[in-house]
Order: sequence, then structure tokens, then C-alpha cells
Amino acid sequence: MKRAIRFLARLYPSSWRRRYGAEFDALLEDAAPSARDAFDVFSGALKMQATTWTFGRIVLAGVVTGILMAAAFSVALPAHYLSHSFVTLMPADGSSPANESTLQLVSTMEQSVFSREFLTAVIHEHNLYWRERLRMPLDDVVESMRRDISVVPVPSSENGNAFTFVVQFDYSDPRVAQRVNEELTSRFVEGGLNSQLTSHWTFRVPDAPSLPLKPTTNRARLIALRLLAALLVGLTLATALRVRHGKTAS
Amino acid sequence: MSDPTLLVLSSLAGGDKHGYAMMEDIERFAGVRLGPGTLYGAITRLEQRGWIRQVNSKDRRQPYTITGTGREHLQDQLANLGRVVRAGMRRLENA
Repeated sequence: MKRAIRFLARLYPSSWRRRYGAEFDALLEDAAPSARDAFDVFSGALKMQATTWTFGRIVLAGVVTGILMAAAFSVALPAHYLSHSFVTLMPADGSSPANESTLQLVSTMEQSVFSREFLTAVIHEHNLYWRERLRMPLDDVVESMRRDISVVPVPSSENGNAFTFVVQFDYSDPRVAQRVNEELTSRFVEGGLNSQLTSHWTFRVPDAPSLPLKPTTNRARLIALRLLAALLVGLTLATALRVRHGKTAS
Repeated sequence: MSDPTLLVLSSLAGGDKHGYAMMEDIERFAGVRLGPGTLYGAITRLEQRGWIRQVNSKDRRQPYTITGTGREHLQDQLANLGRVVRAGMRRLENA
């Protein structure tokens, strides 16, 4: 422990070491230092360093700390991939179903996708969210999966009475995202086919769900946000230390 | 009372001491064990303010002494502390 503390004592500023180093080492030799003392010496060295740093150096240290923290955070967070597919609902034989029945049909289709039973089966079949399942009840995992699914209407390229929806699934593995989205899309269409309102509609899925090649997050935006956060951390730290130092000095 | 600078000044008010002797003395009279970093942080601040100064010595264990202004500062601080203690005790008795 003494060797560790002597090493930590070297973290004090060199000007301080020149003035107090010898007597501080003598104190460490006399005392029976504990782990608590090691932390005390480390904390004392940091405080002493802070009093000798200029405002610019503290900002720089804060920015570097912020960048390192942001980098560690981004490594810890997995990338996300968004697979999507399109489903078009077209009125059968050129009929124009009432708006009410259309809304009812879409609602039925969505309910079938977001149902607890279906999502639970998908989670088990594809071994999704295994980390979350270790620490959360299954109902919470299902809720989390619901947040990663979206079914949204988009402008249709078909005739005026057609409706197009994009079914999306966001996951950390692009191939799993694609496979699960296949099931979600099939379920969405099945939900429509099983409905009693289906006689008015035909369903079309032009392409298989996409295999996402790039993560969904915008890297440039993320880097800019991290740098901004790092700068804020640096400025906050520098200001806090300056205020604290000013109080101590007065 | 856990302000390290006040504890160091109180210790030196009883006579010149080096770092380790201060640590032991403070533990004895205040029941507080100052870590080496905290103790030397306080010594650095007190010396910068002129409230203590080193005593000439050839030993590595550098002794310190309290200065006149240091003694005045300690008296002020202890008087303030005494007022707080007396007020607190009075209020506890009347409660």
C-alpha cells in the first residue's frame, strides 16, 4: 500500500513536490496508510493540480474527459439497424370502401402486429433482447419491442383509393432486423386477411423487407453532439473549479 | 468540527509539530483522522495565507508553527464556533 501511495504522491504538481515532497514522503513512511489514505492522496493530488491549472487547461482537460466519456458511451451502446417493408392496401374491383371500415381494418392489422402473444412468440423464436430479458420482466421486454416497431402510413404511388404503409423494425443486428420484419409484415397482412372487412381490399407487398446496411443513427450528428457535450462538460468543470478555488482563496 | 485547517491550527496552538505528529494529535483531541492528502492540503493553504510557517529543521519531518495572524484567525473561528455551540445547547435545553 505504501508503494501505491508513494506512486500517487507523484501526481501532485511538480512545484508542490519541490516544496512539500520530502516531508510528505516522510509522513507516508511514518503513517500506516490504508486504502482510504490512498484515495485521500489521489483526491488531494487532483485538487492541488486543479489549483495550478489555468482556465484554458481545465477546459481542455474537461473536453478530453467529455470526449473519452462519449466514446466509452458510444462503444457501450450497440448500433441500430432499421429494416422496412411496404404494404399497399388497394380497394378490390375499384370499389371505394367507407373511411370508417378502412380505419377499422388498419386498426385490426396493427393490433395483430402489436399483440402480446405474437411479439412474445417472435422474441422467443429469434432470441431477441436477451440482455433485457435477464433483467426485465417479459411484459417490459414486449413493451420495449413495441417501441422498436412502427407501422406508419406513407403517400401511395397507387391510385387515389390505395393506402401504403411502411412496416419498420429497429434492432442491433441487421439480419435479425430483416428476418423479424418479414414476420411483422406477414402478420400485418394476415391481420387484414383474417378480418371480415377483407372482401373490399387486396394487399400487396412489392418487395421483401430490406436488409439495412448502415446503422440508423446519423454519425455526423452524433459526433457533433458528443463534441458539444464534451465542450459543455469542460466549461462546467472549469467554471466549478474556478468558483471553488476563488472561495478557498478568499 | 471537521474543517482540516481549523484542526491543524488548533493542533499547532499547542506547540510546533510535523505532519505525522499533527495527525496523531488531531486524532487524540478531535477524534478525527485526517488523511495525508487532506492534512497537506490544509498545511499548503495555511502556509499560503501566512497562518502557519515552517520551523528551521534539518529533519525530513518538517515542523510547523502557528503565526500571530494564524492565532488571531483561530481565536475568531473558535469564538464563532463557541457562540454556535452555546446557542445550540441553550435551544436543546429549552426544547
